[in-house]
Amino acid sequence: MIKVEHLTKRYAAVDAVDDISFEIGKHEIVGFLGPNGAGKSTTLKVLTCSHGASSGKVTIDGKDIFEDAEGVKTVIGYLPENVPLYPELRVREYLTYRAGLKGISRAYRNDAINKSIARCRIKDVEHRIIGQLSKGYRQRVGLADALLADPKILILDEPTVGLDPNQIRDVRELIKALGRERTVILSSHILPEVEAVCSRVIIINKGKIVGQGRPGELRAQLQQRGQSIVVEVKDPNSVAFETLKRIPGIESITVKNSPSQFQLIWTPGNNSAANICEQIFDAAVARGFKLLGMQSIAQSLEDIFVEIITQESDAAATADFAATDGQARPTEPKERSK
Amino acid sequence: MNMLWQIRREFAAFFYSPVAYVVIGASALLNAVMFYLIVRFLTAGAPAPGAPMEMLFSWVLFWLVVLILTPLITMRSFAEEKHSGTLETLTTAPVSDTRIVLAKYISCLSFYTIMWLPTLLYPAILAFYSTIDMGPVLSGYLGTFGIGAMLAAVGILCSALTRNQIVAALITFAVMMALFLSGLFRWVDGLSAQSFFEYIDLMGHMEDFAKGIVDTRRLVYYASVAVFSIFATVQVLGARRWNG
Repeated sequence: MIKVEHLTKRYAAVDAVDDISFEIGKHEIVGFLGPNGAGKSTTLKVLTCSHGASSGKVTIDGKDIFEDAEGVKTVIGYLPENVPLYPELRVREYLTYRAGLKGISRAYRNDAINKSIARCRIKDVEHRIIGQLSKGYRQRVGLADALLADPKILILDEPTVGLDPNQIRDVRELIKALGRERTVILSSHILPEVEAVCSRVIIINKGKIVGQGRPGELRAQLQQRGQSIVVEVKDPNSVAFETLKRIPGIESITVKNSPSQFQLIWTPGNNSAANICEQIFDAAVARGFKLLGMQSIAQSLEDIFVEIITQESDAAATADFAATDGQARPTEPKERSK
Repeated sequence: MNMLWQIRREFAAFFYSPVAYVVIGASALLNAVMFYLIVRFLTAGAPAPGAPMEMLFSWVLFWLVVLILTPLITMRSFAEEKHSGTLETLTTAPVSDTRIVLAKYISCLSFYTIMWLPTLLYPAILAFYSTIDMGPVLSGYLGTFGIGAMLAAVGILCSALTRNQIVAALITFAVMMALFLSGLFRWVDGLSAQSFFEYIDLMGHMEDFAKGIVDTRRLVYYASVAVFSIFATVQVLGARRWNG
């Protein structure tokens, strides 16, 4: 349905989107996840033909977006960030105007509008002025507009920002329902949202894709990287700390919420959680400190998200370091030879 | 059909804002004052310098109306959509940039035309009391429309350059004044380009139109500036895609 190849979008000084490629199939709900300013909105803007790209190729529904922008626009329903609407119009007036603009013929226009209004549950405000509506209703009016022409692809930029918990739940349910019969792409910086709604997640940071997969897969990926066990010890001392640190398979140890709690990160490898727990117990008995509790913790998507993003910047930092290091070396011998 | 739909919305949009009523009110008032003054002046007994309708179209007050009110008509066309972000929903609808610009242009020009409608009363009043020569009246309106068609395009271009309506109006006013004032260089002796300035002297144009002289070169000039401005506006709109 959507194929993006080596898409790059450069603004004056920064690469907002840096060489990303991905594919989205029919009836998928894909979530773009990333911190603010990661390039999510920019990517969506390129997909909706609102912005151009510096390089790369994007095909939507078999059409190249740079060659057949108008053809692409007809299959997309787009809800921009912050939901721009004409505040002076009434809801129905606005939808009528948009329906005409989207080329819905007069015969079907009323049906299309009624359907959209029913789907987004804005029947009770259809004759009210948009400027006087609450944020939740405005969001739904925007969504109703995106749905008007019954598009194959729905692109929603931060669809739940600024809504109260009830409205967020409503919008999520609506998105899920819509995803059954069309392709939905949404962006968000809220993890539980993406986890709850999307069938696939693409994590973007600094314009690059840093991870993607089903929410379950992403969790599994991280479990390969390391899991943690929180150990609570009575009368914690350096002996306990050092002992725990030396247990084979333990990568790192940190003091958690209280001084008596240690968080141990371990790599799965040959170990299992039970195995590690056993070793901890044995070590405690051997060195004579008492365990008050042990808990194996599966990481939430949020942890994965934070980890991937911090790793990414660490990696960038090391890369910078390596680069300067590499440059420094050849100059050194030269000076020595003098 | 789609385009007509868009023009209808753009035109209706004027009337959601108080600016439209202020513009129409101000122009009606200014024109009425002007007409009253002209009639009083001509009936004072001194030898008449021209016909009443001729003066209506070439007096300084005419330019006051055109140069001050036209920017107010065009200022919101793109600046407001940019400011509120609705330009994004508009440009992501399946309509071309050219059509968006044309719809806005045609609705602005229609509004400008409507702004002049109340003045049709004056020739009617004059015709009621005496016989008037309709030729110069018609050519006067033709000139007014031509200049409006040019300035509306310039105004839309300026509006597409900014997200602030006031700034849009000020730039438009400055550009219009520059177009208007550059014509006055025709009076500067010894300028090699004197005849060029004569060609673009809007004030001179309107004096001729008001006398019943229709010079097609002038209409071509207005049309050229209008087409260029519309083209440039489409480019500005397209450039937004590349620069964010």
